[in-house]
Amino acid sequence: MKITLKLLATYRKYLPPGIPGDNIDLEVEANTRASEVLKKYGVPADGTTVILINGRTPPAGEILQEGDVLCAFPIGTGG
Amino acid sequence: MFGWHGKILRVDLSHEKTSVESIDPQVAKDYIGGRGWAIRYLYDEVDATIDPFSPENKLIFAAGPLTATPAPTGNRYMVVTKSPLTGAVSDSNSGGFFPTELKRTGFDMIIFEGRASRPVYLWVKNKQAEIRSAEHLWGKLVPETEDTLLAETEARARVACIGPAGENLVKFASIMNDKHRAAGRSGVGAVMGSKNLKAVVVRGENPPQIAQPEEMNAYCNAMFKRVGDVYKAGASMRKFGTSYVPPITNEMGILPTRNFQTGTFDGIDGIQPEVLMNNYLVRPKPCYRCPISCGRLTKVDDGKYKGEGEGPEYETIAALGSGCGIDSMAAITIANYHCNELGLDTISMGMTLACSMEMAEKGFLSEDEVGMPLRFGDADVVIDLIQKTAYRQGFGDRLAEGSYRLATYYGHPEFSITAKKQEFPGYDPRGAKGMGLLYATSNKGASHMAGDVAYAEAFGVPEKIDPLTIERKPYLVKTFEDAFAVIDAAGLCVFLSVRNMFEDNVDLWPVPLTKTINMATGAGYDEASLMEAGERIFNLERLFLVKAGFTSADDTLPKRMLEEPLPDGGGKGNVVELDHMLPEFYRLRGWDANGIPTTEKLEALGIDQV
Repeated sequence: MKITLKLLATYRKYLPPGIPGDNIDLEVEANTRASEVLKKYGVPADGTTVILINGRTPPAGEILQEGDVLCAFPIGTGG
Repeated sequence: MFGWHGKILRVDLSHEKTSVESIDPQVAKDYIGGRGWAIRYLYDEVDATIDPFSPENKLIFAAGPLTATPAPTGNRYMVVTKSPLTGAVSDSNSGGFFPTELKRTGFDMIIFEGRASRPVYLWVKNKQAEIRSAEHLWGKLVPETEDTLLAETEARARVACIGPAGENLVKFASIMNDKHRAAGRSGVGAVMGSKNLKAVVVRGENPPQIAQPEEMNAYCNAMFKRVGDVYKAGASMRKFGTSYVPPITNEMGILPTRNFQTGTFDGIDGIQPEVLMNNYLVRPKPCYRCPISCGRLTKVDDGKYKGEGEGPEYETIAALGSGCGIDSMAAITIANYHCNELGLDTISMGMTLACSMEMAEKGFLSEDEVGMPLRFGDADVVIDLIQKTAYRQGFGDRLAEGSYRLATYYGHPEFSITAKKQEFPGYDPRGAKGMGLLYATSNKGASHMAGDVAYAEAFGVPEKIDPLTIERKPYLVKTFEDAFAVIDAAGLCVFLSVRNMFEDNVDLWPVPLTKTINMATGAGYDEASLMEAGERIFNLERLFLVKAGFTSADDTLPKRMLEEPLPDGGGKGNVVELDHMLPEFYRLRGWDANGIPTTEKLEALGIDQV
């Protein structure tokens, strides 16, 4: 199934080189967890990452659905 | 005293006289400093029902016990007065270098009272104060005012001043220091203008005495290095300043867009942090003793947009950018420069323009009335109307009153997105409900600086909390409000403090902060007494509001936030369930059902009732 991976702020660096924007479309298998996708791209999983699915805060271990936008960025203190 | 000088400079502008007094050491400790000391004096000395522009109002500049100490980000001061925008208390915060220099004069706080019969400025060098004519400065923009004052005092002095907006009593005029830093909100610059006070210039060689200098140096240097290493390693705030935020709030669906009609902006690509960084950033610029360095020196040379200055910060991008439907970072940056030079709060300016744009597009504000077509996304009109607002020319005279008075004048107050008549900052609370409760209960009207629970709801600091739930939000908001009162009173920046001066959970237990304040002051606080002092400050501010005539009916939000669900984005379908949070908030605060602090609560906090 297709999902979109969006990496914001300093996490853009984890996108493959040459990607112009902040997101890429991915093909993932059914029953894939958000954490598995993020791990594959090297996004830190040490409590310093904020994860959103479709703009919302998912429960831990959330399984992705077709068309989901998975977004991650580092914790910070906003503006 | 240690940490504090214990000295207050009182400036009687009506008689052009100055005097020095000492603060009661118990009051000093109980109210910490900064915002705390200032509200104690404002409450005791100013009738809360007066006209904010009358000579009876007082304008207080207050540094904290950690300002000008080795504490990282010990560079803040607060401006406290009765606000002409809200009619409530203002406590507007700024950093840079002026606050440190203010403290080094040997005074912790300056109280301005009365009204000068001519434009004046105050020149304080070390412990000597002099009131001088500012007739040659009246009407000048902020940069020229500062340059002139440095030439006629000392090149190493620091300046806080108003621009034309403050002189013309624009209800959201700011006080600018170091040219580009703003005590931005609630119209503190207009109160300064009403007193005919153009500027305050300070130069000092009297840093506060430190109770445990060696221990404090070692502890604070280690913290400075530890925090600095994190940011140097590539944290967003060092790389982008606060401009990294728009894509995040946009993803959550809480980026104010076209006067809060929605929370996702179709022009987001134009206001990405990379646009600022790759095209306009000169270099990061830190405040005094800051290991984060979120300030941005910028330069625009982009067709019709040309200029140099600082910013824009996130709040400015949200207000003058997406709020007004503008997706040109060059235009937003130039609009920011104009606001800084004229002495205008970018948040209230942007959101007031956004309100008028929505009214114009919906046919409630005619082209004749405005003097030009007014549409979302028209950057040239925004830049033109910023100028007209500062000088109160034409429709600018309406804008200068803020969105609540403007929208009410034209018969549609529902288009003003304000709490206690102050414009919302850059978080749509329908998708971050703690922010909704914060805006409704803040003593200074809608403000993120009243206790920015978006740190937890959006950015995961000190821990990630679901923004769409209301559970725990009354506790979260109370805790953040009290903690921010402590930070503001201590003289620190919230960016560093929330992550590094408290334990890492939403209880915000101030272990490092207590240690730091005690090393500076020797006052022997413990964590509980420090947080209680924050609660004391918040409650005394609330008493000022009660005396000014505010009731629980004022602890509310615009109808749009309570009844119109967010149409799209991460918060789609949500409103702020304020009725479900407010009673619990009052209960946790120890207030009655009308939002008035109970006698028991005031006694427990040791607040003298007047």
